[in-house]
Amino acid sequence: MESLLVTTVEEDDDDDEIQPNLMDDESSDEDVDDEHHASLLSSITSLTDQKNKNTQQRTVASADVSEYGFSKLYEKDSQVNLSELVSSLNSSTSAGKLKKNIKTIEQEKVADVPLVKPQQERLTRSIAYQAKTEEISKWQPLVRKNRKAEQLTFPLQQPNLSLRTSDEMTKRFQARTPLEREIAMLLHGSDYVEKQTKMLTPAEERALKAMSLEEAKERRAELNKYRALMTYSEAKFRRQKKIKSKRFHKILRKEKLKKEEKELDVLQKTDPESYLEKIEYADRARVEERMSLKHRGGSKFARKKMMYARYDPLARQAVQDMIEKNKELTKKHYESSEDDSDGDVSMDEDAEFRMLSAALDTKGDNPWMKAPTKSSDFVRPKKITQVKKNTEASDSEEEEVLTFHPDNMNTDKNLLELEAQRQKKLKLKNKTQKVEVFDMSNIDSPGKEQQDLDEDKVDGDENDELEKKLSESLKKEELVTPGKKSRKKKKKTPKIGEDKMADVDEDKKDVEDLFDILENVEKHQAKKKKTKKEIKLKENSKSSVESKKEENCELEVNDDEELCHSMTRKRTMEEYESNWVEEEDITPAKVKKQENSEESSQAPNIKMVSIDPKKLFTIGPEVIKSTDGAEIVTNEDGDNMLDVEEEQRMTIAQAFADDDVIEEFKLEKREIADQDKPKDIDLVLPGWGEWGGADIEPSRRKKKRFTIRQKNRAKRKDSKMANVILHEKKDEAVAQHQVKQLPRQFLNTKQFEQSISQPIGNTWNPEKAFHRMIQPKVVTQLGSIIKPMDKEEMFKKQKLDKTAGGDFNKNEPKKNQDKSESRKDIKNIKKKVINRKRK
Amino acid sequence: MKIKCLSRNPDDFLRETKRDIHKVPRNYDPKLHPFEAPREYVRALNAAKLERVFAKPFLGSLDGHRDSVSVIRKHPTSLSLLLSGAYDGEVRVWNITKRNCVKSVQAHDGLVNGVCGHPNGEYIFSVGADKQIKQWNITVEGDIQDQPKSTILGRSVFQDIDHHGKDNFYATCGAGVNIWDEERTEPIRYFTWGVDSIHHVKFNPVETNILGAAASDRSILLYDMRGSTPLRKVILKLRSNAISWNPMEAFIFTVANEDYNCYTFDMRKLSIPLNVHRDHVAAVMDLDYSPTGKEFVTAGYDHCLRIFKLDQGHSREVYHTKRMHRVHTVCWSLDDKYIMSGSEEMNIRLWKARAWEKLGTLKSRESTALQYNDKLKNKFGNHPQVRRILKHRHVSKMIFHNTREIRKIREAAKKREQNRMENSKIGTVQYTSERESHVIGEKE
Repeated sequence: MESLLVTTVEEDDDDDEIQPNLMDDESSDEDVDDEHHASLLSSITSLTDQKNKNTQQRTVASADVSEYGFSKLYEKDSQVNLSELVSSLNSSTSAGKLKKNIKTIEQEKVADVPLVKPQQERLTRSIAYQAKTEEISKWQPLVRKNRKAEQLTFPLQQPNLSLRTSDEMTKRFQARTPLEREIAMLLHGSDYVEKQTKMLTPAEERALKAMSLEEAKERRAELNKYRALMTYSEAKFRRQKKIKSKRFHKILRKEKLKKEEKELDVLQKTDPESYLEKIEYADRARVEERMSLKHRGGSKFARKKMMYARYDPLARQAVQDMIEKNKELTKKHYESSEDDSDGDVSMDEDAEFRMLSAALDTKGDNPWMKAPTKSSDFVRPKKITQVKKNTEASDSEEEEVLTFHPDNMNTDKNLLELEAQRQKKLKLKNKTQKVEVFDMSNIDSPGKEQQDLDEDKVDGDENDELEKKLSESLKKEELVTPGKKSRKKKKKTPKIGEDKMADVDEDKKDVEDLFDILENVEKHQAKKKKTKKEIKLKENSKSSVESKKEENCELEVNDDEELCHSMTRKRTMEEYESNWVEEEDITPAKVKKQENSEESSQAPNIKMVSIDPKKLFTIGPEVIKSTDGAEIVTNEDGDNMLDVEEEQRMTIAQAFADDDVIEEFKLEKREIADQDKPKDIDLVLPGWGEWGGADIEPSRRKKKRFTIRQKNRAKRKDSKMANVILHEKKDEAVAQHQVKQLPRQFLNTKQFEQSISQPIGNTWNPEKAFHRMIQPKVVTQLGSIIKPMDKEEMFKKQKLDKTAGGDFNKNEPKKNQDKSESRKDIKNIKKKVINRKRK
Repeated sequence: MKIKCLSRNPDDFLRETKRDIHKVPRNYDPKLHPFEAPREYVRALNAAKLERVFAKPFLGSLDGHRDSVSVIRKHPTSLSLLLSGAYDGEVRVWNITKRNCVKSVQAHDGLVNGVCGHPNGEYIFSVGADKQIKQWNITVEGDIQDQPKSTILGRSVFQDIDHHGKDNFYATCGAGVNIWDEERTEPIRYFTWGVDSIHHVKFNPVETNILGAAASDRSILLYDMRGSTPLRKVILKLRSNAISWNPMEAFIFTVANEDYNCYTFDMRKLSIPLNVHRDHVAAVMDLDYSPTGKEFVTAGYDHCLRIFKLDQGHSREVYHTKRMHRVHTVCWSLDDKYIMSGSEEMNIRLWKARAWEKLGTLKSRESTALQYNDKLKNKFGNHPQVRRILKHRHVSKMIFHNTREIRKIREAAKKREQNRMENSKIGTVQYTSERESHVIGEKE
């Protein structure tokens, strides 16, 4: 029994649990034999006897028996295992239950002794710390991201400042004030408000319902009728429009005019004032029409001219003239447009502009400035002013006509009489002299000419052909409708000689004829010469075509003098250049005259520029090669470019005529080269070994012997570079500014140099790139509190992201929770483990 | 005579209205700009010079305390309010914009050891040498009542107090660290680790349940408010005076040490500091992080403030005035623009966080120019001339000489160490890096 006492604490525990079983066993087997018991005892005693025999040792008492009643220290052999104790059971078959119990006990593991308090605490601390570090490592990716961020804007959690849409606003809107309520009532309650779902308002529907059936039918029928009428008339007009016959249209027009005339007559009787007004209006319309119709590019003549324009400079000129004339006539005056600009701004602009223009162009040489970008301040080309005068003159003429018409009714009447008379006469002649009259009209009738003014300018040959064709076609027409044609002819062939025969039928004049006559009276004198010339030309046409052309040229040139400059702004230098060229081409006669003068003016120019060809930097062909291919092409394609370049060079040379930069540069370079050259060392001692004195030079032989010659160094690097000085020595002044050590953030010098050579400024970078590059790393706002990172906000955001993506970190919080629990009490966990195992 | 001149189309260079920006035709072809780098270099030089010209960091001083300022703290919700406590037990509330004292209260007998505000800005706490924790109501204007809302009498002197970032808890330190619920008069938790007297405690502003503390046994301690035991302890060679957590990087904190240095630690690896910040020539008394977490400011016993970048070993700025004595406490305003310092000679001083910065609204051109200059300074900062200008600071004679002396001492020590390594058996003398050399050990 003594040995039983000496067991470990654990075994003690076990025994506690085993004991009751044992007790149970014993209690159940109360009828155990004495023999059994005796044998058990004997076996135990035998065991102890064996032990005692083996361990005959002296031990210190305290080692065996501690002050607390048990000892921790014992030898291996002194321990008694359970298996040893119950070994005897193996042989017996009676205590089966006991055996089973022992087996289960042996399989079970047993909890360790609770650690001492300091150790326990250390453990809890370390576990808690590990849990905490893991938890806090969640921040790692965010922190890293923020550290690497190009730009951080604080506060990190910016408030949501999105604007509400108008739709949202209207949904939220509630009428509060009385006025608002009233308006809401009107809008929502009224019958007259349209609704989105229905086409008609309730009020309209009601009105529709109110209409009776008959009424509605009537109305419908009426509407249908009008519609039909409209479509008829439309169809009619369309048909009429398609008819190509000029005559038809003319007739139509005439009819219309007649109608109007009749109306006018009625008006004259009833309301003379309004009659006058109408006439005046017609005058003006006529004038405007004349102006607008004359010079349109759509005419046959113009088209033809355009066709020839590519080959014939004269034709080109003619077209241009015509266009210009048209433009000039239709052009608005500058004075009117000037008033548009307003107030201070324009004043400032003007001031600015004036200043700039003054700075740039003191003598007004800038061709850009000649173009009328600014109406008031620009020098207008002379010819434009001329044009203006002309137009003014024509205006005054027209005014004359206008004044002449209503005021001097008597003279007017005279003229009308003349006209009427002429008509009568023609009527008489009509049947007999059809062809004659026609021919006459073709050749020399001013009326005809006046009708086709454009055709006047056509070259002689063309004119002939055209006329022939026309005459043929007209003859045919005449054959078909001789009466009408003749009447027309009568009207269109006014002959001043016949004017004196007067008839009283004034009322039947038509307005157009009236105007024709007026014009004829005026223009007759002017046209006379021209027609004569043409007649002459016709006569001489077969003999000399060239002469005609020349004359025509002259004519056109005369026209040309009046209108030359376009009002369009010229945007490139080429335009100006081309214009000059054109001018020169167009007026050969003038050019011939001018050539001399121009040459004389250019000659001194050339003489003024005195350039030393040696003192020019030569731009080699390599330069051109290095640039883009396109430029090479331009160089090849014309002398023009070269000329421009040459001129530019000349101007530069002129500008730097006085300062001799190149020579200075050469000198400087030579000096530097001399400085760098190693110099010979002269060791000659005068008077040593020969005569010496004031004027006596040491001998050449001696000099040669005693000077130490420096070896010729390799050629300077810049010896072949004409325009460069390379300093071969290290420059101290520069070295001061150079970085000596490679900064930490760079891996090699190349990287560093690249970073330096990449400019940031907006002098070298476009604005957007510049702004991107200068973004500060940290942006804070004055007066806004920057709160520390908010855990919930940050991870809420991340969670949202993650739910969208994958389920990363999903299990982490649970783990952490477990750990925090474990941190709270380690004992609990241990117990749990044990319990689990027991189960 | 006809002379051809260079001429341009006015359309290319004239603006249409007065309000348009000026047309500046540019060709960005690098072939046409051969001197980009030199020109930018000159600009950088000028920018550096301008920076120094405009560097006037001192904005003003708030005087009124009748004894040395022991502690200043920011108001948690108001940028214009500042709380301060002095050695005579007075607590004051300052309005920085008006530069006046809003209210002063005789809060404690003996010195005020700590002040802190509740995160909602409605009341403040103060602890003093009289073993008392006092809670004061504070209005939006900064006015506080003469009588505290509540007073708690503790068993020992409280050395410092700090409030939890969100909830109604606060921590005090003295003999151990106590966590208090605002509603209770007894601490809800009490942390000890051996026999220690803790003089500084700070809540982590991000992971709000973690605290850091500096103890007088030269150790830095970490706690979790919810746990029953401290987390870990690091012992440095000398005692740390203050601890400050990075508000943007949850696991980074920095301590101000008696050995003239500051040490930045990662909470997860305490055996070696991330960075050693040194420039002070006397003990560092206090430090505070900028709200952006990129920089921190330190208060030195050597009569100056220094601003360190988190990832750099040396300070980027030193602030001092003739009259400023030992700086006890410092804080960085919540909008990252100002720094406040409280010093021994009873003054609280207001500084700009960036000495050359122009305060107030900037025109867009102005701000663009400043940003460009900043970039240039950064780009050419390694060039000796630019660097020389940018790095130059005027310091007091004392600092200047002490710096030299300390440098000599360090060099000598280094040399000595090197000699020892060279002259002893290989492997017997181990090389220890600068960062390692200051830490004695990490205790679990």
